[in-house]
Parts: sequence; C-alpha cells; structure tokens
Amino acid sequence: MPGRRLEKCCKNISEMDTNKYNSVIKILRRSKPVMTGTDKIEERVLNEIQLPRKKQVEGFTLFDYLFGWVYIGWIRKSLITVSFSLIALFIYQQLLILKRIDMLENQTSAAGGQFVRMNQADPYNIITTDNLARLRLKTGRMAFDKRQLEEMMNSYNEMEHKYKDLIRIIEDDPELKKLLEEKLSENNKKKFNL
Amino acid sequence: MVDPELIEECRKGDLQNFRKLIGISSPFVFSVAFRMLGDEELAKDVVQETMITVWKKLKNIRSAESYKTWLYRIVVNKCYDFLRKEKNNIEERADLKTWELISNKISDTSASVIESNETATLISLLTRKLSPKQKSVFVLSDLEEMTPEEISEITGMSKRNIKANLHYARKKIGEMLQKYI
Repeated sequence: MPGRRLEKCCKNISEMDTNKYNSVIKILRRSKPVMTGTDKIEERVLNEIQLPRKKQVEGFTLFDYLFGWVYIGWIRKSLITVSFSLIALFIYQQLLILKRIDMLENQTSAAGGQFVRMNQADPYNIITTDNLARLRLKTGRMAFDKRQLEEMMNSYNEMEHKYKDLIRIIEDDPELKKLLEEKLSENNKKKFNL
Repeated sequence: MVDPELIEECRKGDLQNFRKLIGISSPFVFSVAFRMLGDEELAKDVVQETMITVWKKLKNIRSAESYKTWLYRIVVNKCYDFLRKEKNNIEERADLKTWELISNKISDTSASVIESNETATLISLLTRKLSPKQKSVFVLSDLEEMTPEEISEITGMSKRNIKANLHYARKKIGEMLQKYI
C-alpha cells in the first residue's frame, strides 16, 4: 500500500511538472516576439548590399576588367605580374629589333655600291665599289648615299674614256707622240734639277 | 509564406522587391533568433546578417518553394555562430530575484502573455544549460511548432537525433522549472 501511495505521489509530481512545462511553453508561444525598428534593419541591410557594388564601381580598374574573372587573389596577382613581365620583354625585344634594323639600314648603303657595280658590268668598277664597301664597313659610321656613289662612278668612267681616247690619238700620231715624249723628258729633267 | 514570383524577382537582383522580402521574412527570422538567443539586440543583428546572406546566396536556391526551409537553415546557423561567440561572454544575469519575478508573472493565471523583455529573460534562463543543438530543436519544435521533418530539413539532423535532443532539452528545462518556479 505505501508503495502505491509513493507511486501515485510521484505521478502527481510528474504531472505537476508537465503541467508547469506546458503552461510555460503556452505562454512563450503566445508571447510571440515582435520586432521593432524593421525600417532601420531594412535600411541597414540595403546599405550593406549596395556598399560592395559602390566600392566595385569606384575602384574599377583596368586590372579588374582584364582579370576580374579570377576570384583567387594570389592567382590574380600572379597573372598581373606575368603580364607585366611579358609587356616589358616585348618592349625590350622591340627596341632590340629597331636597333638591328638601324644597323642593317646602314649596311645597305654599302650594299648599294654593289648594285651600281652590277649595273656598270665593268671590272674596274667592281674593284672600286668593293674597296668603297670595305672602307664603309671598316669606318663604321661613315655612310655613302647611293646616288652620290653612282654620280662618282659615272664621272670616273667618263674620265677614263677620255683618257683612253687621248692615248689612242697620241699613238695614232707619231709626231705628236715624239713631241710629247720630248716634253715629258724635259719636265723630268727640270724636276731632277730642282 | 512568400510569393515565389517575389523571390524570382529578387534573384534577378531587384532591390525594391528585396525590400519587400525583408519585410515579409524578418518577423520569422527575428522570432527564431530571439527565442534561440534570448536577446532582442542580438536577434536583430541575426536578422540583418541573415538577410544579407539571403541576398548573396538567393541565386543558389533550388526553387522558390524551398525558400522558407532555406531561410530557417540560415537563421539557425547564424544563431549557432552567435552562441559560439557569446559562449564565453554570457553573464550570470539571472539571480533569484529575476526568477521570482518571472515565477510570479507565470503563476498569475490572468497573464497569458508576457512582455518582450520578460520573454527574453525567461528563454535565456530556461535554455542556459542547453547546447546549441538542443536549443535549436527546442525552439523549432516547442515554440515554432514545427514538425520533426521540417526540423530535420532545417538543421540537417536525423529524426532520432532530433528526438533525443528534444528529450534532453525538455528534461533540463523541466528541472529548471521545478527548481525556480
């Protein structure tokens, strides 16, 4: 009998606890929390959302445009560094090429003499232009204009023709030859005397 | 709960519609956060952070219909974060006087509803000894009146786990009630 009483008592206590729990939960359910200052929170949320957009627009650079698709910071930085290196290398190569072109341009003025030589088809010209070309290469910065070289070669050829004509005239006329020889020997004697 | 078209508009990046969505979603978010944290200001912070996360990740949502569950999942996770942060900062706010005041209020048969600050204090007192999981299960099940299926979807816990956590939560709360009220 006392055991039953104790059981009943415990059951009553348990029921009391359950009732207490239920009543508290009921009160808590009914006391639904009401949020105040919804507008403020709305504004704060919208400001937070729009802030990254504004920052993005303000800080938009060429790098963002070019590398904006890379989201990992260190990869983006590496790409920027590599692109900078490539641009620098490209500029250096261009400068090197320009320098080479300039050097080759100077060499072509010497090769221009050979062009004149080929047109003249004269063994004498060949030797002369070769010598001039060699002289040009040795002297380095001394440059010949192709037109000037041509003029010089023409005048030289003209002079050579005149010289050959004169020799032929002298050989054809024995009297003239004799007279000239006498004059030349006289001149030589004078030089010797001096 | 929320019009799927409204969610679709927000997914497209429409801020005006998102303002509406904040208005509709905030009370639910606040209710869960308030009951889990037992602090009005912290709950407001959770609302703010939750809505920012919603905006950022709304594009990832599978369908507009799953919005409610997804929203609750974010809130619960945010509350976990806050509880973890606040773990070391929780002050022993409740003294016997506070318990007495709350007890009197509850014992008053005419009082079917209590004030917001009283609710916060009561929840804070009752759930102080609960783990974050037990807290979330208790709030979602007993206060938000959700089914175990819904809770499972929100928290990612199995139904058995939910049942066990709820049992321990109720037991601890029962002990507190027996002791102080």
